[in-house]
Order: sequence, then C-alpha cells, then structure tokens
Amino acid sequence: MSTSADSSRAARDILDARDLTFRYVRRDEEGQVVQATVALDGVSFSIRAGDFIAIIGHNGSGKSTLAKHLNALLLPDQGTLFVDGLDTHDAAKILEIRRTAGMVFQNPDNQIIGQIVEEDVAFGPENLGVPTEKILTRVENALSRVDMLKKRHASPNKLSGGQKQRVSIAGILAMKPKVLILDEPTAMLDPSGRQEVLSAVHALNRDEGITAILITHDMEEAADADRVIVMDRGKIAMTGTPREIFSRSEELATLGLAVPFPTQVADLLGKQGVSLPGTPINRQELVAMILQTASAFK
Amino acid sequence: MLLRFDHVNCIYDPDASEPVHALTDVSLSVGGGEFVGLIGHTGSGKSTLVQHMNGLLRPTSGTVFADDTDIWSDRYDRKALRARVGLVFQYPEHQLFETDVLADVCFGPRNLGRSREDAERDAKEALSMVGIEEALFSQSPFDLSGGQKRRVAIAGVLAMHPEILILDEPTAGLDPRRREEILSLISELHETQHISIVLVSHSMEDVARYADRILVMDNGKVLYDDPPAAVFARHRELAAIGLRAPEAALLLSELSEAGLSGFDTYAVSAEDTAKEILQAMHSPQGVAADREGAV
Repeated sequence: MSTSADSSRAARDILDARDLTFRYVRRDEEGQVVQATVALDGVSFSIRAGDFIAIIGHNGSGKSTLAKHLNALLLPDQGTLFVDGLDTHDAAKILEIRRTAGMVFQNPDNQIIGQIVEEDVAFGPENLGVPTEKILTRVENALSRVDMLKKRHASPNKLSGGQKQRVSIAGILAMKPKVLILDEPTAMLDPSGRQEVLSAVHALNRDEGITAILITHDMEEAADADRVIVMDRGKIAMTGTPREIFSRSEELATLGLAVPFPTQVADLLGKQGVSLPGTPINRQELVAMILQTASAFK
Repeated sequence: MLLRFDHVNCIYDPDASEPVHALTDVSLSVGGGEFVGLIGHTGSGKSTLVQHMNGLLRPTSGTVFADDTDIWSDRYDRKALRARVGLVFQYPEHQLFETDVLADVCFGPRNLGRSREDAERDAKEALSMVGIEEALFSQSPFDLSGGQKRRVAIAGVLAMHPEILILDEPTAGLDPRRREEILSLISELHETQHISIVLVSHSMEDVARYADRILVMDNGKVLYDDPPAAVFARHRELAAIGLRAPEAALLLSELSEAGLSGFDTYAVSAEDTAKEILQAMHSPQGVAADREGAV
C-alpha cells in the first residue's frame, strides 16, 4: 500500500512540530479565566524516523506537555504537529495517530489494567478492532520483544517495577507503533529495574528502528540518545547531540540542569589545567581519556 | 533516643504454604543523633524494617527496644512512640487530605491530644523548617507544586517533634533540583534540630553525602552495616544485588584497575573525585603504576 512518496516521507520526519503553543487555563465557576499558564511557547522541531531522542528540562519546563502533544493527548492552541504525516488537529485521524505513537507513563501502577499480563497487553489491539485470532500472535510477539513472555500468565501485581514498565511497553508494541514516547519511565524504579527498561527501549530502537522519545531527568540516560532537546519555560533552549549539549555545562547550569557525572569530573580537571582530548559523556570515555592523558605525563 | 533491634524476624502469612520471610534475624540500632542510610532494591525488606521501627508492625519473633524498653511490652505507649519516631512514607503527598496546608500539618499534633493553639504553633514551626511560606498556609495542599507538597507532608511529621525521622524514598520522582532541596532540608534538620535520620533509598548517591553509616538490605537480611567508605568498596557485591555504587566509586575503581593508582576510592562529589584523579596523575607512583599497567 505504501507508495514511494510515503516511504520517503517516513524516512524524513516522523514527527514534525511547527510553532506549537499551549496554555493551561484555569476557570472559575462562571467560566471566567482565573489563571493561564503558558506551557509551550512556539516550539518547532522535527524528528527523523528511527532516532532516539532525549528530552530534558526541569519540572515545569514543558517536557511532559510536549510529550502529550506527540500522540494527540493534548492539542496545540496554535501551531501544528504532524505524526507520520498526520495532523493531530484532524479528529478523524486520532486513533491512527495514537496507534502510530504510543506513550508509557512514569507510574507503572497507573497504566496496567488487566488481571493477567497477556490480557493487559491485548487491551490495545482489542480496542483497535484487531481480529481475535491475530491478537494472540501480536501479544506473544510484543511480550517476547521486551523479554516478558515467560510472565504472560502472571498477575501484574506480582511483577517488579521494571517488569511492569516492560509490560506497559509491550501493550504499546502490540499496536505496532512507529514511535514510543516514554515520560520518565524509570523515575520510580530501582537501578536494576531502570536498566531493564532502558535496555528494552534501546533494543527496540536499534533492532527495529522504532523512534524513541525519552523524557528524563537522568543525564546518564540522555547521554545515550542520538539527540537531546533541552526545554526551558516552554521553549526549546538547546538541541544537539549529547556531546554538543553536555559540552555546554555552564549554559545548562543556568537552566537548572547538570551534566553527567563523568563530564562534571572532566570539566573540573580542565579547570585544574588537565585538558582531556574531548568531552567525555560517559564513564568509559572518561577513563580512556584520563589514561591517555596520564601516560602523556611520562 | 536509641532504637535497637535484637534478632528480629518478620514472617508475613506464617500459616501459608509459602510464608514470606520479610525480615530474617535483623539486629541493629538506629538513632542517637546519627544519620543512617538504608539501602536495598525493591522488595529487599527496607519498608518492612522501617515499619517495625515505630511499632506499625510487630515482629514475629525477636525484640525492638526503644531506649532499652521493649516496645511490645504491656502498657508501652506506642502512640507516643509514633510521635517520637516519625515516619514519612513514600510519596507522602498522596496522604495530604485537609482543606488547607496549615490544617493538614496540624492533624498529627491534634491527634496526639495537643490543644488547637499548641498544634498550630507546632505546625507553623514545622512549616517554616521545611521552607513553606506563610502565604501558602491557607491554600489547598492540592494546589501546591510537587516539591512543595512533599515538604508539607514532611512538616506534618515534624510537627509531632520526632527524635528520629525516617524517610522512605523522599526524593522518588523529583527532578534533580527538587531532589537536592529535599536532601539538603533533611541534612539541615539533622544538623540544626539534632534529629536522628534514617534515609531509605535505592540511590547510593543520595545517601552517600550525608550518612554516617549505611545499612544495606538484601532479601530481608542486613548485608552490611558500615561507614559509607567500606560499603562503596564492595561495588561488585552491590551490583550483584541490584544496587549501584556511586558513580565516583565506580570511576575510581575502574581507573585503578586500569593501572592508575594512588587514591583512596571513597570520594563521592565530582570535586573530590577530580582532586583524587589529579593527585594520582601527578604522583610518581600513579604514573609508574600506569606505565607498568600499560606494558
């Protein structure tokens, strides 16, 4: 069904935001506006299919509001957002948009509804009207991609936080999405749960080309993305590769954000006159650069 | 005040076919002005342990002593104990319920039988300790920001004048700036109000900077009860039970494995870590060791 024009569009931009503006409005009983907060203020960007994007920014910077626009949970007051070429303003396309871009939230307990794991994962495709005989295959397939197939008959209550989040991801995969939007999916998990979820998302992105949009407070998580978008007061403050972003630590500090720990250490070494051959954004890079510099001391 | 656990066991559902040993032979003490970190992955028994500290749960066997009195002995006043040992649950903001901030914080002291004036005085004092301005006292707690809600919830426990304050994952779900605010607030309460702290977390980084001692729980048992330095030195064992040593400890140990030596591996902050590295790079042994390591 897909024409060559379609596929070239997909290869270009899966998400395309033009001048998004959104305000949260509080009204009194008479419907008069009491308070209006601008959450998005003229946000434009485009994201290529298959990219892994991290969105960072402190609380209230607009990241979650932006995420909710990406699958039409919120519609912009002004501006337009295209999801795989579909305009989120087009009410007739809402289902298709939500199938294309699925969202995983922070709290695993608020998004699991099934009594057993496979029932929960089947909920999405059932809702989309996928024929029953095909649902089973989709559910099995989705669960195996996040390594949760052996828990298919388990009760979600018996799962760890990391397992619950992987079930939530499977629930979205069962709808065959092109984009996975994750709003701080690891904030409530312990270190091993966090690792499970991140590995699953990276594998889906790397092996299947699913576009991943990860909203996070964790700079180490952001360092593993292809590109980072920094939000501040409803605007995009910076955008670039993790290395480009994290080499601007002073600018980030003014936005209330820190760079990853290895980058902080490298900055401090630089101030003490030890200049490393680049900006390390993870521990492996820093260790290699320090060893290289240390042996040059001889 | 000192709380002492003597061979405490907790078995949920002892009659079930598969009884759950939530705590196994736990002996430890907390209080006495110390700042203790309690670490363990989800399900390791941390929350069960802290609920034994203020008598919310009763040990299946073993004894919990508060200043040498068994808290489960007859006529022991456990209600008073719960004021002296304040417990701030995970996501405490979910427990805010009153119509305004001040009333919410008054609930604890009122419940202890204090008069309205006394309760209000205690509440205002507690709110000022956590940095909530008077302008917010008459607002609905639900209109506050996430960080403010959490501070109000902590004030609700502080208003009861606890001698030991236990906080279960107080920074969960907060952004780095608000996490920092809560941690420095806790440290300030410890230093200026001389409240003993038990900080429950699965983040080593969070407790590393402040704790005098770290308790590591795994599978219902206390695995380590040591100063932070001794605990971080075991980063491999920690990884095996689903915990992560602070990034500084991992970095320095990787460098020393690669041959750069000459630092003590217990730095936590980026500043101290950079200092350690500089020192090692400039020390003759450090470079010599590196040269050997490189050959």
